[in-house]
Amino acid sequence: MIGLHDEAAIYAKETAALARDGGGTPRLRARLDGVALATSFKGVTLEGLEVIFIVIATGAGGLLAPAALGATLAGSLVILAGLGLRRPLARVPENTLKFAVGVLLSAFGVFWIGEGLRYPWPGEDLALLALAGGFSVIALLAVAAVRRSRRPA
Amino acid sequence: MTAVATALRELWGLFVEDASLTLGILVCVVIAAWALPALGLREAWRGPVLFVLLAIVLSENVRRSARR
Repeated sequence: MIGLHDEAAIYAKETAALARDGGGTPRLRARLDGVALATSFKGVTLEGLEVIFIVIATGAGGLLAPAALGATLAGSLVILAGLGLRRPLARVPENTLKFAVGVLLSAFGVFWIGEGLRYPWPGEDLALLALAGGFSVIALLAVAAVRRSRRPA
Repeated sequence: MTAVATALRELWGLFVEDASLTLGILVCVVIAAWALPALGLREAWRGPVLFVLLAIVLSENVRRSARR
């Protein structure tokens, strides 16, 4: 369980640390920064692997090319959206964003497990909405329970 | 060798944040894959039962984490 924290402050601290480790002069900073490379690589590898698994799962059964094309187009759109929306997105509360993403990932994960086990989900794809709703309720109840348990007596 | 061990540890850390939660989820998947069909549960109920099992594992993990 990850507690609430200030993403902007953490980002400032981490970039300061990377700048310190990468060297102080512009000439040194112009060279390839191994620390920044490794940090970014680690962050993107996991997401890239998820994309690969999704493409393989979606494209199994002769649809690999369309699935790969769809993923490429989506990746390009996300990069453009990230560049264009980075300032307004930075204003979205980080923990709210993580909560929503966690609920959606959990719902999709359970749905895909069921698909892999050949379960006939009630309502088929609409079961995703029910799963997302279910995980939202459970997560909200869990947050309320943890807050109550941490309230001073 | 240390660099390889560090790299493997980092790779493991990317996928597994909490080993007990991961193990609980895997147990639920195994139950869903083998125990539910073996028990003769109707196919339409297996998905919802899988969700309930995972929800229990998640709730228990939150409870234990909150106590730490």
